[in-house]
Amino acid sequence: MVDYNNLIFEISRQGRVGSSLPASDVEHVDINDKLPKHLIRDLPAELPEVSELQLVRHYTALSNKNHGIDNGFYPLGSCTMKYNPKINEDVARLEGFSRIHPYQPTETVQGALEVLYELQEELAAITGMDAVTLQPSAGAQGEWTGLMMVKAYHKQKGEARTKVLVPDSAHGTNPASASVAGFDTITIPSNEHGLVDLGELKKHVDDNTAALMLTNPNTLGLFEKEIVEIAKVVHEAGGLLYYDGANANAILGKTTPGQMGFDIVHLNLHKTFTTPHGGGGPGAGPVGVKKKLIPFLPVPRVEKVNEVYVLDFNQPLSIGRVKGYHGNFGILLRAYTYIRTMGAEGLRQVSESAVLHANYLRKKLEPYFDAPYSQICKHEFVLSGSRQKSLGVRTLDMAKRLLDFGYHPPTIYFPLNVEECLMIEPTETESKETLDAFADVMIQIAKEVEDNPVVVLDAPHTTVIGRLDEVQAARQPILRYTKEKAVNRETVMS
Amino acid sequence: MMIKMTESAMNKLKEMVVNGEQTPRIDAEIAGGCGMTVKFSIVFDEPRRNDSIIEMDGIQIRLDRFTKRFIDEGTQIDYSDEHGFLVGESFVSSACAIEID
Repeated sequence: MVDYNNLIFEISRQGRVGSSLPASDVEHVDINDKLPKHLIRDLPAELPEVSELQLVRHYTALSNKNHGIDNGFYPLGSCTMKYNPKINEDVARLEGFSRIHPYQPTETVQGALEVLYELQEELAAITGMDAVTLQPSAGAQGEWTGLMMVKAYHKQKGEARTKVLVPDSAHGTNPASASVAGFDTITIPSNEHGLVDLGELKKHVDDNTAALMLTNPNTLGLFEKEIVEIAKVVHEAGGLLYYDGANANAILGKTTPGQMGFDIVHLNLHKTFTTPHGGGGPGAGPVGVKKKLIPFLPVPRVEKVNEVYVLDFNQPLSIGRVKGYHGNFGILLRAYTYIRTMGAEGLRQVSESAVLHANYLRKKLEPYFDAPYSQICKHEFVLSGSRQKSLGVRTLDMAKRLLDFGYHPPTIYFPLNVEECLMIEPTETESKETLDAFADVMIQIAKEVEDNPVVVLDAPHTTVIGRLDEVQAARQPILRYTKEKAVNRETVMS
Repeated sequence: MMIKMTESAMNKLKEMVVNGEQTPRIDAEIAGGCGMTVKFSIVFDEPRRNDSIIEMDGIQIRLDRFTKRFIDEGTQIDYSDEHGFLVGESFVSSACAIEID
């Protein structure tokens, strides 16, 4: 069994192969005769040499150490770790979709283009926008795409606005995207209710304001009740409103960013629309815009002309292409499948259940933790571990303790305006029994902090690897495998 | 456990301890999101359960169990009128934030 805990390089044995090929019937040539000397390695690459069975066991063992929504509860706030229905996978594997190529002539891929066109239409309806691009490959790229359109819009009007406003509860990607797009970011403090401080906003909005970026509900799970007034203030100054769709799971079928006054929206299909988060991608971050911004959308745009689907490159004001081909098609297809299987009524129920679950859990946990914004929330809520901090236990310690019970911890230490923050988003796809069981464990941990803090401080106890030495991991990270380091590691472990 | 303390930091701590009722603490302030940043500061507050105490030149400095994980003999406390207390270096964790040479 030891093999399964080793790196694949460590189970490698020289000469072992995982394939059996017939003898080559072409003439053997010496590579030294064909390539310049400087392109030939002095030593063979140290690639792992394993059998097929070893390979399968190795990666199966690795996957068993992973935690995903298929393994257990995953209440990671603002990440919407909901169940990804398997029908999405079935549809994505249909040969008509999985065996086509983006270079094929459009008349041979009408079905795929129809899916893209229909998804654009569905997302435009869901967000209250007039047109949508599917190209951006994730939320942050969607933000950047939106901001480049903001820049192009103002430029077209002969203005060079430089300021993008973001509230202090914003996702970190908002100021980062604004910066990459060449804007200066101004942070707007929240008021005592955790919402945008309208007075502070008015102080900073002027004729140099390009846009305000906002998440609604915000990262505290609270709905910006003054959104109409906020939109009015920004629009009267000539600025645009950008909607970060990270928290769209709270509003499906109830309201739209368009109704709230937003001009640009990005959606995270891997959050709200059940495409996989796994492995860092691929993702999809479609961007919707109001009519006045349509000329600036990336090209090619998927259009329907006389019942035929075409790629429209002829948009002179477009910011250009932002992603190869047509975006991550397989992901877009999964999201389309989800939307069509749920329907409008189903999506409305998604948000109602997500909000109900968050409030159910919030009420169960609030007696045991500090609740800086104790009020009806949307799809997520924040608690503070300040009470536990005064007893010598930090939120990170409690997050580690949750691992002992098979739960992925909530988002912690974010948003930044809540001390020792725990940000919990249960999603709509969990049962009452799961929510109750999670609440019981959180309450148990809160009691352990008071009665037996060491069990929390030393957690986790049941995971394959215990508490990491994060200081050493940061100061002396081992980022590349070498035999020498592997030998040293074995020596230390023995 | 020993840490390094500059003369200016020690003098300032002694002055503040004499004038105040609360005790000095090395505290870890954590910021999360994508990755985790830990910054250290000197605060004056109440004792917490499970605190460790470092005694230097008659001055007791507290730190909680979490903060202790990040503090070692390489940690230095300095003080200047311009910047106040400076403790060690900001410590950054996670793949998003590690700088690779």
